[in-house]
Amino acid sequence: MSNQLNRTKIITILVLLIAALGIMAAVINFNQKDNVASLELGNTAPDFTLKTLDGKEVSLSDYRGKVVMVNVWASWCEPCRQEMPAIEQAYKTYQDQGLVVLGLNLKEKQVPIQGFADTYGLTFPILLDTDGKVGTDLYRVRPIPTTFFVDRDGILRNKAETPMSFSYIEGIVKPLLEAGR
Amino acid sequence: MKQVQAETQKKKQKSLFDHIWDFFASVKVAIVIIILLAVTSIIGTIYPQENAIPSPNPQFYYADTYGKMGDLYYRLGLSDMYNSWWFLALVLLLAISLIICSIERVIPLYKSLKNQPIARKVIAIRGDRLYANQSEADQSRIDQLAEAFKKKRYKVRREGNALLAEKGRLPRFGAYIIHIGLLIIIAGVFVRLIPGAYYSGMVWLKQGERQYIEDVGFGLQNNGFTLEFYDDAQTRVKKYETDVAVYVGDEEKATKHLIVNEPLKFNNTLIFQNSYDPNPMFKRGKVELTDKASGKSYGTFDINFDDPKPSYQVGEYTLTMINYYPDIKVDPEKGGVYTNSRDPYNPGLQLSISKPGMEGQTQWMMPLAPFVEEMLGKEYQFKLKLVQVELFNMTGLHLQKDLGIPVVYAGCAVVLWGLVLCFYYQHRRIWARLEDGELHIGANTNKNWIGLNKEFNKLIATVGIDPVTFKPKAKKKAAQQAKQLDTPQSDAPHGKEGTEK
Repeated sequence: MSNQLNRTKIITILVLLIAALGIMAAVINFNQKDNVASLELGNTAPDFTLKTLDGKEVSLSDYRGKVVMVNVWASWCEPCRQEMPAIEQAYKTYQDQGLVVLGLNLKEKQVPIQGFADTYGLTFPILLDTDGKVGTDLYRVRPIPTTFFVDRDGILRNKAETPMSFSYIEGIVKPLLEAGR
Repeated sequence: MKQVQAETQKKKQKSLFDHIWDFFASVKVAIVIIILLAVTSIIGTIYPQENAIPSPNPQFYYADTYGKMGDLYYRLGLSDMYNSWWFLALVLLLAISLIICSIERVIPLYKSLKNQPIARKVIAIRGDRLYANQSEADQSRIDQLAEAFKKKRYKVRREGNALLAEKGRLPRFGAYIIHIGLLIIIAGVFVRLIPGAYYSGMVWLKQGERQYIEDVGFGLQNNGFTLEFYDDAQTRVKKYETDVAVYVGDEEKATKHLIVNEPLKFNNTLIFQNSYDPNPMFKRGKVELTDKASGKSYGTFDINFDDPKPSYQVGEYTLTMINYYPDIKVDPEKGGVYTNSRDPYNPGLQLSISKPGMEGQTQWMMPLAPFVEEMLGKEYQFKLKLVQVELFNMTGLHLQKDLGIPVVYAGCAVVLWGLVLCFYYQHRRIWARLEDGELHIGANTNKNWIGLNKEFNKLIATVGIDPVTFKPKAKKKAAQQAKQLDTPQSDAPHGKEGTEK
């Protein structure tokens, strides 16, 4: 009889613990949904196609073989404005070695973007993510500026969620540029 | 003897499971868990939680609003603690503790009530707090009593010349019914974790704008927002209402004129008129181009402030947009201008005005900052005047979907039922036994002795016994003696009866 009682206890405990662990797993999964789940460094960066400010269509995969820096920005974002000159400088410096900068504008309109690009003298292509499909949905960007670094093989190598300085960009981009040679 | 054996056996081979079981079966542990839950819940109310702050950026909001303490609060994860793994783990621990504590006590109670003997020893009946006897009685007395008990809705069982009348056994389980209710409530809270079962969020809609809300699977369109004030200075709002339409795909599924506190229900989701943006936005406007000196009008053009065109034509003049700031602000440190948001709250336009044979003249237009425009525009050749403008306020709708609510209400109902059973009903038992021509009647209840006493006196009056009064509570020693003499009276053999609540 004591044995039977013990078995009942063991079964009860096991069922409860398994149920509890299952619920906890669901909780953690639930909370992670908000964070970057699909975008992991070391995986292929999700491809996308967007219109540029000049009306051309551009895909991330067009730049396979080059190091791509995808900078997600908006003109109302102060830190974005702050880092813009550094990004432009990096683009100018490393363009010849195979660096491409794609300035992915989040949900703004053509005319203000054009004005911004002219004011800051931006020479790299600016992509129009008018509804946030790429920036917020596909790349799950929360704070801006966020910058993604994709290597020559299309692998996502780094991600910065702060305004960057020239030396910061250099520190990430240089090894990536050298790696592919 | 048997018990001693079992105990030594237990001590010898106490497995891991026994340890876990004993841990959760302990009332002390349960109380510690409840206190921990209470304390952490209080901490969670120091600052508003992330879902209740008026900002989409909690990482800045807490530091900005509440200073260093706020920043610490956010960093420690307390700003979203009711969804944190450790808080939910505590809730789950409480659930496990509730289940095991209940099993530990409810099974012995059930067994002892089920197996209680009908015929108790006379010496035990004599020891009851409520006792009456009658000499020179016979079997017919028992029959009479049984009849009387049945009338009072007692469940009567007989065995030879003994009788057991019982009423209200279920209330003994009231505490466990409360536990079941609590478990249902906890389950209701966890329903939120099922994908699609819970959503709470704000949607801000401009005039005519449609937004798709992925979490609830439909889109909302603002077909018109009205805002009225009591006073002309627009300080006290009278009402704000939205004509809202629900879209699934491109199909309109429902519409409602939403007013505060009268939500639209669609797909188990409540859509509330929650708030509005107090700052109006520019929608469309008509701009007139005039010669500054002569005041001569060259004509007008229409502009969409949300998405202006790169250039406009007025007569022979071409107006090219050099810069457009939907929400222009002047940087006091660096002196430049920038846009504060993507929405046209305070548009600032920098235009180049030219015509064939004339070089472009650059000038600013800021409808909300006429002084700045004036200051900059001393040398301007032209004047750009907004002659007509359409403004609007964004409406703020709150969406609330929680499939766990009916479960929580069901749990509350069960808890309430358990409480009623606990407080307003008693488990009454009356034993009668005829021995050597003497009738012994003893009664027991788990509470409300006075009530039982009254009923008891009425019942024994049917066989002609004078009223009696119940004895004061027996002292511990006597109670223990009684227990040893008479096990059925103590229902839970491990002495848990006193701790059931």
